[in-house]
Amino acid sequence: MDSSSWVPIPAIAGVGLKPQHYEEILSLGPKAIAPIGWFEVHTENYMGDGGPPHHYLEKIRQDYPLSMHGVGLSLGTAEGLNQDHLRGVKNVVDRYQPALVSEHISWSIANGVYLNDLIPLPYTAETMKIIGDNIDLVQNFLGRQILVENPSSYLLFKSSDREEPDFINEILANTGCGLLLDVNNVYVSCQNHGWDARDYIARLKPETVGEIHLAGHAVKEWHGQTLRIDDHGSNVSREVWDLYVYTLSLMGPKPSLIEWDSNIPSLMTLQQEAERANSLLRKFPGVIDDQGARKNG
Amino acid sequence: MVTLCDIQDKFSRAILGAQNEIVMNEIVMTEIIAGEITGEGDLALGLTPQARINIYRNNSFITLSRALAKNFPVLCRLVGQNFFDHLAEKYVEKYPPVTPLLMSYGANMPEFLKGFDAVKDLSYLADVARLEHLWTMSFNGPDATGFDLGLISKMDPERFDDLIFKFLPNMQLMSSVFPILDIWLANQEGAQKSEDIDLDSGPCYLVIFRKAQVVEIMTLDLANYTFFEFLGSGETLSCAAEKVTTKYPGFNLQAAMNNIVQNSMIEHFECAKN
Repeated sequence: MDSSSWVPIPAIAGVGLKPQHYEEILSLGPKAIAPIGWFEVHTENYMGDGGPPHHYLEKIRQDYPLSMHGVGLSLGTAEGLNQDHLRGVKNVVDRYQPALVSEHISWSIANGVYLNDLIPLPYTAETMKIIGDNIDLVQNFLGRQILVENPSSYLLFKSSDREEPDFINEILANTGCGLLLDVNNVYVSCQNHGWDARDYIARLKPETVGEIHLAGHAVKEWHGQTLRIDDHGSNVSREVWDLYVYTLSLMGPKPSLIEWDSNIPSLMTLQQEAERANSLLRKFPGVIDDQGARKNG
Repeated sequence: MVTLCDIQDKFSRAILGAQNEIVMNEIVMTEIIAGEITGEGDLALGLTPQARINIYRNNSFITLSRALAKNFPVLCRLVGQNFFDHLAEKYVEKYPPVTPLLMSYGANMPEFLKGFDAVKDLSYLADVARLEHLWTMSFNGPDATGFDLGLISKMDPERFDDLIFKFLPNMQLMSSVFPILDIWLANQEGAQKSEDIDLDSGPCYLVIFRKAQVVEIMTLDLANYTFFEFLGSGETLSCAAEKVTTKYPGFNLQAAMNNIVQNSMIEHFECAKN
């Protein structure tokens, strides 16, 4: 793979691009919506043939670096990747030339049915082989490195014979892909399973991390137990900001995305969350300013 | 040793068929030792495998129902959110998505509604769903490549008879025995709900297409609708005009062509005889 084709997004804050904000982003322009330095989209939302999604993304792409984050490849699926979907991803990646392309360490498809959820995997040698082969196939087909995101989960499989951070490190070493470290997912999973979140993050390799995700989660009472659900529908929680600072202290600054996918707030709210991330990023060495950042898009 | 393929097969069937017991034995049951959970009582360690699978089942069904509600907002408004959620759950069970592209999920909704006992007497609902699906297809359909009208004006007028038009790739035709467009318009966000739509007020003939970034729905009379059908099926201009005029003597070819040209509905054309 030609590593020179992969231009990373600089280590500043970006936000998830939502149709509700298209017009505002275009009319305000990059200076007015600083501190948002880049946008991430769900790849699948731009896999239609034409229409408004492409019309707006074409324009926004001209002014900002872009990250494409997929939810549909089902990298952990045992029945083989959906080739039509992979071709669709390649078309949209070729068209928009995003700085980052990412997917998830999970599965969503079985018996040809798409369950529209990111379901965890048993951490075994067999799973390692399957997801490794799938990631190899995707990276070869797209002709570039991808990042894979650590999952948030509500259950564990008995057949797992290794721990999640070790499994992740092994995938990265086997395939050469990078890690999209979702700090909220680490927090949610650790709370749900009684793991130590700082230990989880400390076991990951800083040089493999290409992007960080920050998001809000919901706290639900479920069967008399407190459960954290990764719904991306609120402000980033205090505990997740704390864990983010710990992550930056170990890894240095990384491109950091504010994800907000339900109960979509105003662009102003996203700008405030982005500024909060930027203010933390500035505390660590090597942060580039917004203007320098955009040159890399 | 259970394989990943087995687990995914079982998990998927457990979710879609509400049969958690199929996969329950594969899930870790966390033992809670008395006194181990302290402080805020913040840990979820005491959840049974059954409850944990239900989280995934709920998430799949809720997010897929939301995808359907997004694709069928008028249907959702007509039947109410609660009933729509119930209907969507049954739809997902019968037609779970076979692709991760949910932007067009729900193509079978019209057929599904016809067979759904609780609403099968409300036969206009299936046509509302059909219009909403066509709207979505048009919204996400291919962009027009841009048609140069000047090419026609440069042609020898004698060859006009042999022109074959290809309409916009995002254009759809639909007819219904019900006044579906009136129902659709009355149930748009912000529209004042009209109480007096007469379901027996007669059929409607619609062309759905995208003009720049906006989906337009235009009402046609039966003669014009038939003309669109003939042209769309590849008939030459003269052939289509003749057939329509024979059936509907009042058909105004000039007005029909003006409408098509002014709304940029043509993607390209060719001449049947070269």
